[in-house]
Amino acid sequence: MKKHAMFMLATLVIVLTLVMAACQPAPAPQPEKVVETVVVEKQVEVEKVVEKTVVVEKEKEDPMAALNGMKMAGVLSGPVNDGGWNTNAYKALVNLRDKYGLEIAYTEHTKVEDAAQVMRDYADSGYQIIFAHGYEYADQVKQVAQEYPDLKFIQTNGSEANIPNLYTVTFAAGEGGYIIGYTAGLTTKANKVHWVVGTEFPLMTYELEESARGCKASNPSCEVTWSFVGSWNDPAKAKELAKAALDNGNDVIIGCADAGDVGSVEAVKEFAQGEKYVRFISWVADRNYMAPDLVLGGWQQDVPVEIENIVRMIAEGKPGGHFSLDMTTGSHYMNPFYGLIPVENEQKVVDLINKYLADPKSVDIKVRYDL
Amino acid sequence: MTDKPKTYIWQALLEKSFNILIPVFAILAAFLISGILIIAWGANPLEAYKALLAGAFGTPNAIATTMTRLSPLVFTGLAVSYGYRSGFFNIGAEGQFFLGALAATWVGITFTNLPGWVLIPLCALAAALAGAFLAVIPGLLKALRGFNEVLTTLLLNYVAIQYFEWALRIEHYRPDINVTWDDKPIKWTFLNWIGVKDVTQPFPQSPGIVEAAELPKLGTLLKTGLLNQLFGQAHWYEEFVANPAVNRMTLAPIIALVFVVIMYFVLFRMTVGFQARAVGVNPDAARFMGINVPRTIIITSLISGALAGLGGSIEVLGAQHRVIPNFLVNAGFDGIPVALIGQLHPAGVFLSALFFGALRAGANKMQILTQVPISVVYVIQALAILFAIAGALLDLQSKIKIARLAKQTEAAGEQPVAEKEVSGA
Repeated sequence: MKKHAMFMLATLVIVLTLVMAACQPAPAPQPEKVVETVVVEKQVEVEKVVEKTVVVEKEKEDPMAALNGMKMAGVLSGPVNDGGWNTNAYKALVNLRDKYGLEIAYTEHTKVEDAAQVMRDYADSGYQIIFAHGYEYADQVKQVAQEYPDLKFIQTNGSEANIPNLYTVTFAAGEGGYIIGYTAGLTTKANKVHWVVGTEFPLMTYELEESARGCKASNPSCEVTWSFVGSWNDPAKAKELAKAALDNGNDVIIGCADAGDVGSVEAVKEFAQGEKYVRFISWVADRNYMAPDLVLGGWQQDVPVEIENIVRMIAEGKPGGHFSLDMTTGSHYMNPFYGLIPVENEQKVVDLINKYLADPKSVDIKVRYDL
Repeated sequence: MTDKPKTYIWQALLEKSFNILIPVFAILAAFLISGILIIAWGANPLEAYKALLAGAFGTPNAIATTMTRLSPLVFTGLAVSYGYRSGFFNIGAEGQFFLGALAATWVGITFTNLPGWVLIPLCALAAALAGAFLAVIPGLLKALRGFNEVLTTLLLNYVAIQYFEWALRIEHYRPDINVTWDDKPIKWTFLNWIGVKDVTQPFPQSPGIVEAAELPKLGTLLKTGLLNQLFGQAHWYEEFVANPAVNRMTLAPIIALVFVVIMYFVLFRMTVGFQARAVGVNPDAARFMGINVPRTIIITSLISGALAGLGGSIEVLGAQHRVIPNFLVNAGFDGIPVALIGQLHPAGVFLSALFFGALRAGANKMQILTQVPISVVYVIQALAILFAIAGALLDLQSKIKIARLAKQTEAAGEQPVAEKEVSGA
């Protein structure tokens, strides 16, 4: 009987956890209104697009006009208000809706084992472009793309290059790391720079190594180190790591931990209260709003532009493959400095970028397209 | 009581029917209450449920998905129900499931030259052994030292899952390759024999298992088997076999069904099962009956763990063909509610796994068509469990039985005898 009661108790606990997990409110508040799945078609937006096509007609029909009214669906691994990975995908979809009049929809929290069926459901409901956001969907997107050869499939961070209706896309690695390292070398006064990164993966590791090289280029006596939080959603641990780094003599923190960045910035703020010099450099997205007098805009990875690039290929009728986008595509770039480093140093970074864009070989940036 | 009066037959039937009625009413009540939630959310519950049903059974594709979702749940459900019936409450099915999947994948990517009829059983055997290994540790601790298996199995989950994640990041030994995906030379060590990571690509995931190790597809079997010789000429048969959904369906649900039957016989027709149930009901009484209680507990933990491990192999061989991080999370924990709603009976486990599988398969369609969030499905599941427990607590079954026995004994002119049956079926 005792065991019976314990079984009941354990089950009750499990049930309660299930209910609580289901009823849990969305984690981070976000200004945008977030609905689980939206299929939006605003009258106003359609008018806008009509205006646009009129303008474009002068320079001969824009292929993007064909996208108007097409249906595109996103398959996402988490909530669209996570402030990082999935928010970027959501923005990419919204961007396409607003600019080109696509009808959009998305599914959040898609588990890998469910992904294939979700994509099939979208395909059967008349969606023409299906966008799987994450490397983990590689097998599923490959399978479904072959089942529906007439539809177009996009996968971020995929590597498949041989399916004509599947477009896998990544950011080229190296440019951002080098330039941010270069910037950090000019920002630090203690000659010690520290990265607080979510988790270790090959592309990230390469960016870190490149940042060390970039830093040496602008400030030969500067030292770059890094630590991993182990998750993309752990502000408390990120804060501890940043704190430890600051106590260890670093005065520039580069943050790449999505939701964890809140914690790193918090540590920087606390440190700055002691009238000490300290700066935070953002990575992936501009975090300046968190502490306007401490946080540099840093490096932007613009998923909307990334996806728009691919959708443009689809509109132009180019076949699928693997695409690694570098800076020339405009999909990643330097955010504003907000006057947080001396103007002459800022100019040095801008000069470096301009020099690189004018002639990639003139700068010692080693770009990799295979990561 | 061999010559039962006729009037009692209906009462006996009523008693038996509670096993089915309680979960059915629990599920209905769960849908009813979740309907209120959906109305509050601003959607039509009938339409939402229609979409849910269509997503689970509406098309051949949907049925194929439901069947794929159901198969691993049957195994974890069987693992939990067998364990619980036998006094070994196995909450470690999750970890055993992950280890099973890992072991099956390891065999499937290591012994690439074996033919399918050797390789598939080998994968399954490895998975069963891995699961059994993880479960026998708490089994031994409970049998020999009296440790609480709820704690030990639960905590071993984390050990197993962390090990799984670690193995995903260690390159798997490949004799034909000596550079990693980014052309760095790699020096193979003993550790690489344990790892499963695909050396040719950057992400932490295993290579796909060889084709021979994949469970045969239903479509392929029908094209070549006996049925093809019988109906091969018929037009409808050709159409049926050519359907891509039939082609995607594997033997997994059929294997699951076979194991349901096997477990029924083990539980109710074999000495092992009888002894295990006796220990589950009352270990002291079992000892007086001459049952070796520690030995029974160890055997129970082995069987329960092997079943959960097999579930992992079914998912790898039948559906995903590789392991990745967050590989089918919660399939093991979901085994507990599956077992519970299934009234701890193998057949019930199959039906409630079908219910859970259908919910999972239909949830996405519901979200796509009616914008009702997937979370509603978890609410339905949770409520169904709550109502099932509440129903079990009412224990109408034994009340009616006692009443019947009282009547019977009265009729026979004897004192009523309180009867405790070992069989809970």
